[in-house]
Amino acid sequence: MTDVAIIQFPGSNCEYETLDAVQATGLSAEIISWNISEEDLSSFKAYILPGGFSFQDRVRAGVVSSRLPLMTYLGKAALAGKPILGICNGCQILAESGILPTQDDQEISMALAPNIVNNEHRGFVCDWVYVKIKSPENNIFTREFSENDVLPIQINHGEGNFKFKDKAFIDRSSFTKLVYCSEAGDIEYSYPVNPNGADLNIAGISNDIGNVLAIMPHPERGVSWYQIPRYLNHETSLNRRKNLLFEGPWKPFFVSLANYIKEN
Amino acid sequence: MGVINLFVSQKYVDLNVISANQALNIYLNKHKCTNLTRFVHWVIDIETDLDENTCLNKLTKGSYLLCNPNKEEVSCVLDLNCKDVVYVDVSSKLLIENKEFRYQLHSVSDLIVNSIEKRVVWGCKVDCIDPQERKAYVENELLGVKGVSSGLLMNPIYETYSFLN
Repeated sequence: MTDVAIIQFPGSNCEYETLDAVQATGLSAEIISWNISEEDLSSFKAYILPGGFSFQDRVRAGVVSSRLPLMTYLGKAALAGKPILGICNGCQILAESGILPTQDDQEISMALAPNIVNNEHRGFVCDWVYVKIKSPENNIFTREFSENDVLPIQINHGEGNFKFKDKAFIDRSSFTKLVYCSEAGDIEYSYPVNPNGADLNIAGISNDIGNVLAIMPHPERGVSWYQIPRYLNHETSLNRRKNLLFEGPWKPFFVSLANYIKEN
Repeated sequence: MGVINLFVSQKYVDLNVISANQALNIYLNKHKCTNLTRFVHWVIDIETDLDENTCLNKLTKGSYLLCNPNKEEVSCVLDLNCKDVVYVDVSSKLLIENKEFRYQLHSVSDLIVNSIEKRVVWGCKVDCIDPQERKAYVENELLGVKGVSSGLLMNPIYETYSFLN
């Protein structure tokens, strides 16, 4: 039985590097098509929705994929406690599907709006930013991190602006949240620390039971040492410049998943 | 002049319409929706004494910023006379000033653009006799106001809508 299914939608383009990141932890993984049967889909222990432009972002980013029959199954799998990760376009699909942050009803309670900075369209952003993780112990994918970690990560999106129906509820909740911060770890709510205008600086968020994570930046692009640029003003880049970096800062993200799967 | 409305549609094929139709009819079983059309709706506040057609020419002839005439057509008026089609205008709730875009438009048209807003108009042909029922169907089954299974034409978190007919 293969551990992890990486779901390829029409227009996905990050499935192979996601596969590499998962396999680097010793897990078995397979790229599967969006129209796989429910029976075959149920044989996997965890699911990843990779980045890309599924259905060319038609109507809105992620919305067409979010209405596929596959997502009904993933909704049930989320309630059953199976790990599900959505990266970038996968995050947009999860938001449009209503699986996150709670699945009490069929309502949509969060969205990824177009990037906006100072009341202006920011357009597509491709850059390295920093994030911290709040309550990392509350999600399967972030248990190997601590709240003090300041992690460089790549963003690549035009619609990464988290908007919530009830921002106060999200702020009070103990759900795991990835938040944009400065390289010193300070959470500043203005550009450029917050690159897209996201509510509460949120870059990623867990569901209420901690088995689903939707994240706009790309952790799969920070698993190996050679993926980290030399030019950042951060200790990982400094180590890269000195040839002392042996793995990327996001390897523990996938190790967390591997540990969970081995324990269960 | 004041406010000018431009409705831009695809001349040949609109892939947004194809995917929306497929999602509504095949994945969400909204079979009463028999056809969709889509228009990008520009709402432009212009400071000028020129008439609407002159403004339209100035705004669209010098650049592809609002409309690419090779594959799109533009009109200042939307024909709302199709009685079984409900036109719904979806707009963003987010405050966007579009300063740079206004500057670009000014540089190609020589018009002073006070504001510009991009919306999307969906024309939803609904197989239903009663006009109120048609509107209710669009609102409850196509837009997505009430959740994932109630459509997808707008996102209730950061978008809103109004009926044009």
